[in-house]
Amino acid sequence: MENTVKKEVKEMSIWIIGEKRNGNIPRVVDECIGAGERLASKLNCNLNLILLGENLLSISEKLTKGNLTKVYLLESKELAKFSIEKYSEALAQFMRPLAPKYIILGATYTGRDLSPALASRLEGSLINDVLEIKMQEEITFIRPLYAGKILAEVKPTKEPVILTLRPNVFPLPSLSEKKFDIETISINYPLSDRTKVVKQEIKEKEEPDVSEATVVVSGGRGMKGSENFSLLTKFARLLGGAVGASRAAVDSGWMPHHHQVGQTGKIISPNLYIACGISGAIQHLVGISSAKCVIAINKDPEANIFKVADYGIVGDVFEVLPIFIKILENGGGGVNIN
Amino acid sequence: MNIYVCVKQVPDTEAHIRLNKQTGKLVEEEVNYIMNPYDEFALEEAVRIKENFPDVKVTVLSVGPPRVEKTLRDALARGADEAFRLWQNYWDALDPWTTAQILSNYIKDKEFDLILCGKKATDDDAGEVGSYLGVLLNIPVATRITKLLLDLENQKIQTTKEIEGGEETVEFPLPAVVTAEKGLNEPRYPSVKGLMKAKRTSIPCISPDFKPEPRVKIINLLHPPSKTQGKIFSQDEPPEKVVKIIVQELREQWKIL
Repeated sequence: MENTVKKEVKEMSIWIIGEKRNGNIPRVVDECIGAGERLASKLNCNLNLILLGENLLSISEKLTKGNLTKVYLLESKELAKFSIEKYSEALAQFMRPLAPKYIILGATYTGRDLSPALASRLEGSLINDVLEIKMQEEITFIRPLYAGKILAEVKPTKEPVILTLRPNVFPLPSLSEKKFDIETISINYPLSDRTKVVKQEIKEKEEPDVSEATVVVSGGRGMKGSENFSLLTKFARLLGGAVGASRAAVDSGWMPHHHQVGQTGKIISPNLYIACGISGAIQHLVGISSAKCVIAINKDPEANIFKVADYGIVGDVFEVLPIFIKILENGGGGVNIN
Repeated sequence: MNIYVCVKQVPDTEAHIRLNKQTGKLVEEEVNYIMNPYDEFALEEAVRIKENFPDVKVTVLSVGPPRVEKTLRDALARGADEAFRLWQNYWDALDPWTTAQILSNYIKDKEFDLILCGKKATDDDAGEVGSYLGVLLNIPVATRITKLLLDLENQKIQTTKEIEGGEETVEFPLPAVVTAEKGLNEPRYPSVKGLMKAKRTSIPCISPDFKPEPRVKIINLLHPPSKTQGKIFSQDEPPEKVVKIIVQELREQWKIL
């Protein structure tokens, strides 16, 4: 009882943990701000954002959307590279006295690696891969079970509530009208990590990651071999998207596993999903069940994938794809991501 | 060296999952249960370490009701030395946090060098238990690993995983927790010898006196809205025309392109 009284005295607040990629703020962070904005206006409280790393001031200028109250830059040489132990420790030390109500991250590699460590340090409830926030009297959350074959409405029992949001599901916030305050916090407590990075290879990739891309062009058994995936890469780049693959294609060694879409791969919600030569096993279909628009190209008119397609083309992938590419090249590509 | 592998029994990924209309709960009888696919990679890696290093013992743990015994027997058949099931009849609706507490309570007093889990289970898709184990046992964690290199002499381990835009290899001291991603190895099928041995091995059930206090509660289960089929263009229609129609609709109606 005493505890609850103490907490009410403190100002309620919502916090977003930002991410950065190659000197930019990824789209999913804006989506987190969008969701945080709605929560903050319902609860009538502050919405703050935290970035961790080195030389953060220039990157914080790229935060242009949403009504943030304040942006905190947790600066330390020790935080230059993402580390589960250091990041969760720095965040826990900083946030513990602030008694945050909600902490929001993207359900990215980083977000999902960081969230359990942060949740256990702050003794909060963690809800991963949130698809919807239900703003009733009691706020609840919808998340997938069995890759989305079933949806669960869940409620946390502890505070803070740590949420990771599925990319491409939550709407972007409006452009911010007012400038928010920025405060740089120099971390002066020691941060340790028992884990040492031996090697890190970051490719300047031309494609976004499959789980965050707004457009995904995927290939299955019908692509007949790894050499034909270059056609999908060309198509995906025209649309600013990523290349996905079915389990059959990955198990055949045509694409690495991090491209796999489905229950034992990535469960995604792009605006546009283009399935090329994919028959549509149930474990694949659940992985795309929340895609907004699905186009399927397959020779077999009976293929399962057509049952979930908004547009189905019965035909040869190797005939249809070049036509798509030609028309988009002529008509101008460029995806309207909003 | 003592290795613990934590496995979960989950519905077959090819299974359709149905809810009982009255209770809103899963229709369990219709489901074929298997070992969580990611746990198969964890187990395989443990068995490979056992094959490549002397004096390695592989113990498999699973939290769950009696039906879970089948999955534990499967693990024994694939090369684990012993298996324990952790369960109390009054446990219900365990969330990842309480599952991790049950596992860590069991492991903490034992001698352990390495704990392997799958990166997530394909039923609740949480991917949290391995990370919680690291915090609860106060040992390093490496998630979603696709490569593992053991340096027993120096009590060290090196693992590789996918990160945003690339790949990262890290090194850390044992004891530690690692969670397995697809690609770590190619899991084997049980051998006839393994199946015989698994049949003979007893699988004790441990019933700890532990009152779970879940941090997340499921209050409702629902079927997702079912998708209706859109426009299907048959083989007889000229593809140029079809593609033009689709591109135009993507631009004008869907505002995607």
